[in-house]
Amino acid sequence: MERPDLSISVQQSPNEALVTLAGEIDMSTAGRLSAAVSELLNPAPPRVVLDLGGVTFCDSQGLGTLVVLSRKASLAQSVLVLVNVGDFLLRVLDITGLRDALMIQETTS
Amino acid sequence: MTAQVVRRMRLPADHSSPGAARAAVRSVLAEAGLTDVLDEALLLTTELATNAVVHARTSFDVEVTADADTVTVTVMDFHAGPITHNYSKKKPNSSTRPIEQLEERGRGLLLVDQLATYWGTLHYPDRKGVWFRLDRAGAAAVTAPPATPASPPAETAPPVASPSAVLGDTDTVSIDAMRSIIEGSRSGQSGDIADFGEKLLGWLCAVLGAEGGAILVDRADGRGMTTLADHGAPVPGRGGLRVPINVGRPWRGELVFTQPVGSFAVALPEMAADRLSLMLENDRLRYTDNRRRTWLTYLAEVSELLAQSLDTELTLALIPRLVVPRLGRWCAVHVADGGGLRLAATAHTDESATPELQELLAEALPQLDDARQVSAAIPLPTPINGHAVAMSARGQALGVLSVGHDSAHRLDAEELAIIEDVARRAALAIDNARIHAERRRVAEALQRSLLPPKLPQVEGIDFGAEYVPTGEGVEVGGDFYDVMGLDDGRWLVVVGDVSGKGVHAATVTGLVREVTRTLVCDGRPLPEALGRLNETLVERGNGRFCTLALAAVTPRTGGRLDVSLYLAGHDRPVLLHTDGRTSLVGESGTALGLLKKVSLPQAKLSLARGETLIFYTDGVTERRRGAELYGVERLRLEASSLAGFPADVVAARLRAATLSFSLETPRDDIAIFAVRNDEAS
Repeated sequence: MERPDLSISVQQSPNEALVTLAGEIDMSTAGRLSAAVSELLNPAPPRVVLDLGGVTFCDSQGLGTLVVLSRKASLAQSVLVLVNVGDFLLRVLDITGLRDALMIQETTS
Repeated sequence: MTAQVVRRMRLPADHSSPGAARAAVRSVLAEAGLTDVLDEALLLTTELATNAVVHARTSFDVEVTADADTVTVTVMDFHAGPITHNYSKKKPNSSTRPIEQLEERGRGLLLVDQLATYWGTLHYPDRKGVWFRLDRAGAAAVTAPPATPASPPAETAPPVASPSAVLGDTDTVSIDAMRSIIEGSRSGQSGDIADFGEKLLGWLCAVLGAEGGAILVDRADGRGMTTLADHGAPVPGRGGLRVPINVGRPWRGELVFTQPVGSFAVALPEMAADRLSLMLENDRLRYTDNRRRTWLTYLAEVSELLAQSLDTELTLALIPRLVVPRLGRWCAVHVADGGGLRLAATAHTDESATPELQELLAEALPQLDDARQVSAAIPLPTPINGHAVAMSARGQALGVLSVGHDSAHRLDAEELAIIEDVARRAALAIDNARIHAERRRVAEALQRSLLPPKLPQVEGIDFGAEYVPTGEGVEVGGDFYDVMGLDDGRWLVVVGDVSGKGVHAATVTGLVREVTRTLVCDGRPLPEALGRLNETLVERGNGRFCTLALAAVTPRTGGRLDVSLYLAGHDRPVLLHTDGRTSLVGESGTALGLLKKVSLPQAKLSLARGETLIFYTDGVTERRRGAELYGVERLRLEASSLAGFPADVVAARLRAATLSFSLETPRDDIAIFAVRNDEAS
C-alpha cells in the first residue's frame, strides 16, 4: 500500500520564503503543510511563495488549508503566493470559488 | 471493449485511508486503460473517503468499477444517518465561526456534484454511502444515470432526500438535501415561492453563518424592491453579501445576507440564486401573462363597445368613460377642429374635479397640440400628471387622447402601450362614426332624389305613399315610386323594385325612373315604353333587373277611375272595396332587364268611389318574424279594416302594421303606394 506523502523544502531570503512542495496534499499531510508555513510567518517575510509544481494531488482539505494560510499571511502583513499551479487544481479552485481567495502567479521567474 | 475491472476494499477510519483509496483507484484505472478522468476520480474518491473518516468515524468500504469508458466509485460507511453533519446549526457559535472551517469540509460534495457525470446516495439501516460515476469525454452518451452501482445489493430503494422533509428540520440539512432543494424541479412548481424562499434562507443563513437574509424582488410595478421572503435579522440596504437573481427584464431580484462572507462561500448562495431565478422567472411569466390577458380582455371590451357606437358624439362621450378608472384617474378627448383642438369629452373619478381639470387642460393646449405630431404618448407638463397621445386613423389626425394619474403612480411601459392602443382604437371608432354619418347623409340624399318630393294634389284622385329604408339607413334601397301627370289628363303611377341595394342599385333605380318618365311623357304607348325600358336595362343595367307596377289612371265621367295596369314581375296590387272586401288584381308579366323580349299583358279595371288600389313592394310581404313572413294575406286583412280611409292614412296604417309585425329592423326597404277614387258623390 502506497503511503501518501508530501515533501516540504524551504529556502529563505530576506525578501521571501520559497516553499517547494512535492507529493500529495490531503487530510494526512495538510496538517504538516499548515505547521510548516505558519512557522515561516513568525516573523513574516514580505512574501511567502508556495511552489506547487511537484504536487500530484490536492483535495478540498488541502485547498482549505491554503486559504487559511493565505489569511494568516495577510494578517501577519505578508503575502502568500502560489506558483506552478496545475490545470486540474485551477479547475477545482474555480469550482469551489476559492480562486479569488488565493493569490496565484501564472509562472515562476 | 476491455473487461470490467472491479476492486473492493475495507479501510479503517484513519488519516492515511484516503491515500489508500486513491492508490486503489489509480491502479484500477490503469488496468482498465481509463486515464482521462484520473484526476477527477482521485479527487472525488478522496473527498468521499475523507468524509467517511472525519464524520462517520467508522471503517468504510470502497468499491471501484471501471472499464475503458467509465468509472464508478462507491464509498460506504457504517454510520447510519445523514450524509454529513457539516451544516448543522448545533455547532456552537455558528455565526462567528470562521467560514473556511465550515467550508473546507462541505466542499467535498460540491466537488462531487460539479465533477461527476452522475452521483447519488445510498441509505441502509446500518450504513450509508455516496457513489459517483465519471464518463470519459467522448464516451457514448448514456441517456439515463445508472439506478445504483453494482454493490451492495439493496433491500430497499435508496430513499431520495425530499426537500420538504429536509426543510422541516434545518438541523440536519445535508448537502444532499441542498442539492435536491436547489436543483429540484418539483419542489418549485408545487410550493409557494415565498414559503420556499423562507426555508431556503433559513438554511443558507445556517450554512453561511449569517444573522439574516432576504430575497428582494422588483416586479417593475413602480414599488421598487420589495421583500419576497426573509429570515432572521433585517438585511442592510447596501453591503452584506448580495447575489443577483437572474430574472427577465424589467424584473430584478437579489439574494441578500447581513454580512459578507469569504468569496469561496459565494458558490452556495449563487446556486440558490440560480434556483430562485427559475422560480421567479416562472412567477414573472405567469404574472405577465395574467396581466396581458387582463389587458387584452379590456382592449377587446373597449373595441366592442366602440364598435357598437356609430354616432360620433356618442363615441366621443364614450371614450373617456372606458378609460377611467381602468387606465387613469381622468381622461380627456380633444378633437381636431379647424386648425386647433376642441375639448370634446372628459371623465374624472372625482366628478367635482372636472372644472379644474378643464382649466389645466386649457393651459396645456400647446403641449396637447404637440402630441398630435408624434405617434407615441408624451408626458404632459406639471402640474398635470398625465400623458397625451395622438388619435389618428387612416392617416388622419383626429385629435388627442390624454390620460391622467395619481401623482404616486408611475406608468410602466405596458400601461403606456395600452393607452396608445386605446387611442388607436378610439380614433378608428371616431373615424368609423364619421364615415357612417357621411354615408348616411349620402344615402338619405340619394334616396330622397329617387322619390318624388311631394305627391300631387289632384281633384278626384287621392294619392298616399310610404317609404321605409332598410335598418341602418346607410344603404340606398332599390324600391321606388313615382307619380306623374300626362298631357292627356291621365295620371301615371309607378311602383318598382330594383334588385340589390346600394349605390349601384340606386343608379339603376334612377335610370328606370327617368327612362319611364321620358318615354311616357314622349307620348309612347305604355307597352312600348316598357319594352324600351327593358332593352335599356338589358343593355345598361349591369345585370340588375327590376319589377314594376305601372298604372295609368284616367278619371271618367260618372265618378269612376279607369285603370290600365301592367305588372312587370311585380306583386299584384290589392284592390280594396268600400265594404272591406279585398282582391288581388292585374295579370303577371315578365320582370324587366332579364330577357330581351318581355310579355306584359294589360289589365283593365275600374275603381268605384271610395275604392282604393294598393301597390306594395316585397319589403312588405317578405317582412320576417323569425321564419314567418308577413305575406299578402295579412296585408289584405289589414287593408280590409281600412276601407273608406284616405289614401295617405291607408298607406301609413299599412306601413305601421308591417313594421310592428316584427321587432327586427327591416332587411329590405318598404314602399307602399295607394290610389283612391276620391270623386265627390
